[in-house]
Amino acid sequence: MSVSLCREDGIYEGGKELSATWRVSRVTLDSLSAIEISVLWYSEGKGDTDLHVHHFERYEEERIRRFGLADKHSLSCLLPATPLSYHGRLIRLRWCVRMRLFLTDGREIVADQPFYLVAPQSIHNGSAIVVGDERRSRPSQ
Amino acid sequence: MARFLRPWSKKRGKRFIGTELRSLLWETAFYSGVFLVGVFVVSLVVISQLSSWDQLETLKELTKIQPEAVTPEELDGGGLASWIFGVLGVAAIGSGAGGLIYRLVRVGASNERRSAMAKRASSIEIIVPSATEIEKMPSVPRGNALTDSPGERLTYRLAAEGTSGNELVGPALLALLWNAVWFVLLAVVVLGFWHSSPRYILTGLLLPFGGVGYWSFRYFLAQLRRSAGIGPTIVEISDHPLYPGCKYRLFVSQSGRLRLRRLRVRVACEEETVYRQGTDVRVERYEVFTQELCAERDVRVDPQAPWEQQFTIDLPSNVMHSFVASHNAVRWKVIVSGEARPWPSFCRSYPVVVHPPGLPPKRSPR
Repeated sequence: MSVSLCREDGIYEGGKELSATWRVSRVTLDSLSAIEISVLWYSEGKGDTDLHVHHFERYEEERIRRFGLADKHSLSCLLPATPLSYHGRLIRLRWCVRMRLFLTDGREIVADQPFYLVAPQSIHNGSAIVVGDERRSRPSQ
Repeated sequence: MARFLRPWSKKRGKRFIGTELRSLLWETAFYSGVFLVGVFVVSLVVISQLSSWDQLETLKELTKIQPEAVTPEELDGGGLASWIFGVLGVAAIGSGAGGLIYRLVRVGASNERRSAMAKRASSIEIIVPSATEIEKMPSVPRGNALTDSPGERLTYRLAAEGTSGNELVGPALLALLWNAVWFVLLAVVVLGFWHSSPRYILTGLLLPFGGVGYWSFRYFLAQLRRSAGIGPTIVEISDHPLYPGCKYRLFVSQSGRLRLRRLRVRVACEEETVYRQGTDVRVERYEVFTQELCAERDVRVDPQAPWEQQFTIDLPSNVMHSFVASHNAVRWKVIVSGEARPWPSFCRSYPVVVHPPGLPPKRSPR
């Protein structure tokens, strides 16, 4: 399965639209029980994980059979203004499009397509940065 | 000519006659005394009343009063004297406790802040705020409460994090409860002697118990003196919320009677994570950004001339906005800290909210 974003650099402004396509391959229709697509942010780091789903779609078996697996399917949503992607010392905030397949034998397959959420109008101004990333790229003293 | 210490202070315009600290200590001692005398009187009345009830054998045994044999007027249940003393005792307890709480609540909180808190309490929204309002900037604290109070020099007066009266609650409770129990025991002993059936063991215990009560009350007064000695810190800001890449003016005022080895004012961004380790819940904080605005040495603060400074906060463009989730948070605050003597060092934080850049600024009627 694969998820492709509409922007190659994977950088999106807060408050703007995200478009993506997804496709499931090498899995038969009979073995699928449901598909979930979500746009979400989650935290990484020392603390317990926080997770917030911004956009969510679920396709049940019947609907999957109706549209089939041969074609690409599209997804679009309006992103919120916050929280922006962040790479701190104790906390990292990551955005992604997550696809979860539920197989009939009970197994689940998960794939994440990460992207960055940056400040509104920053791409247009040429000032788009992920806070904390510049610290990572700084050479060690 | 020798001058006597005045146990009170008087405000004339902006000027105080006497020191506020002294009047606070005297008032606290006075209200505590009223409360304890009330406890003593009520104990006397209650014990006298109950001792005439046949079913309370244990209390009779405690006081060794024989109501059948001893029936003075004041022990006769329902007597006018008992009622009068009972009401007076309850009134003393009520006014003592009320006065004490009222006085202690005022320690370390400015009038403006109390006013803002009262206003906020009176305007609590019964209806949950609309989803669209929250969805505009999810996970960013709204910080509406931070702009409740208008400033005198700049637009907003910031409220300090936490309350400075919390450290007084424990010593105050210990002192009042212990001494209240001591006065109850004293009432039992006095009644025992009154009715010629003294309780010598209990009388002997009163002395060490009184020592503990004296120590607890002295400790409470020392804590109160410490809290009141460091005067209020006022922090005002020219605009709120803050945006990365913008400049803001900040006004800081520290009052009290202090000699500070060092006074620091800074703006800091702190990461805060909550995690479980076994059965413990731990919190870890890390300061990812700090901008020092002032680090002055040997600062003298006088009640007539508080230390006042104005600074400029220059917020860089590559900083994270305020963020709050269940287990993780990014918090911004203005921190005023002082190494003081003879008072202990203090550190007061004033939370602010930083929004992400590029959004239309939130306009305020102020």
